Amino acid sequence: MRGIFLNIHSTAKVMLVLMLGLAVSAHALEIESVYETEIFTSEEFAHKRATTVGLDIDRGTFDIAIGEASVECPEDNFPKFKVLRIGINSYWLPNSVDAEDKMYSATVIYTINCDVARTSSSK
Amino acid sequence: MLLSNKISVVSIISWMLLIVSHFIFVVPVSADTDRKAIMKYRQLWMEIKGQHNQAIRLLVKYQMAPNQLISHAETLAEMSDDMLFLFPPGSLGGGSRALPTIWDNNGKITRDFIMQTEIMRGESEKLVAIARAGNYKTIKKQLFTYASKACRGCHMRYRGED
Repeated sequence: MRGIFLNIHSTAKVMLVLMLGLAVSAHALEIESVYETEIFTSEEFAHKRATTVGLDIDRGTFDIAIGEASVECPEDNFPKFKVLRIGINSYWLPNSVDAEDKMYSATVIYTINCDVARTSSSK
Repeated sequence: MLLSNKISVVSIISWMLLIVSHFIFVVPVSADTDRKAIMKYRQLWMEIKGQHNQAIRLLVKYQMAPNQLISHAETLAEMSDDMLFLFPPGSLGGGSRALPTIWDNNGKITRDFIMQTEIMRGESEKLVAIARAGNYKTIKKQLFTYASKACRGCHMRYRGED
């Protein structure tokens, strides 16, 4: 009898922890986003620009990322940003003749972590 | 004293008590009700504004309904004029995250807060112009610039955590 009681008790505890976990995760939002830089004449320039942007994103000072977080999670004053990777794109523009004319941009892939569901009376 | 005189004295006292009680009880309750009502309205207003932002975001993402997009941007521009109405003196506390720094010591909205509403107006007007031009990439960029400078710019300075 005591064993059954203990089992019920521990099951209830597990359920409670799971429910709390669900409740917490329902409030958090993670969005993966991409910022593409301007087009440059070399891969190196594109990468340099992406590195600067990436640092601003990580610091939470990049306007575009901040704005996106504000739209997705307007209730959260302090969303968090993390750069995942930087990619390089190459372009053959319409007037390109040979490989010398190739142009490059960089894409900065980052995540926004923010809180979506504060209390509704929070303004 | 005659009975009619007694009645009139009681009547005058009753009226005086009624008038005094009006000022003691009715006026403060009414002011508090107004404050709560404007705070509730402000909460709804902010939610509606957020939904216009999200509607634009969605339309840009799926590159659809450019006319709807313009309407949402125009509404955001018009809504920026409401900001000063939404923050009457003393409309804080009771679940509101508004910070007292919105007002000066005399209960007037600070010049800095007014400037923030002007930024909101300017950035939302830019959004309308860009939406009318119809380039989804630049609309997205301006939406995020607007949200960063106008929305978050204000929240970081005038909205507390709880």
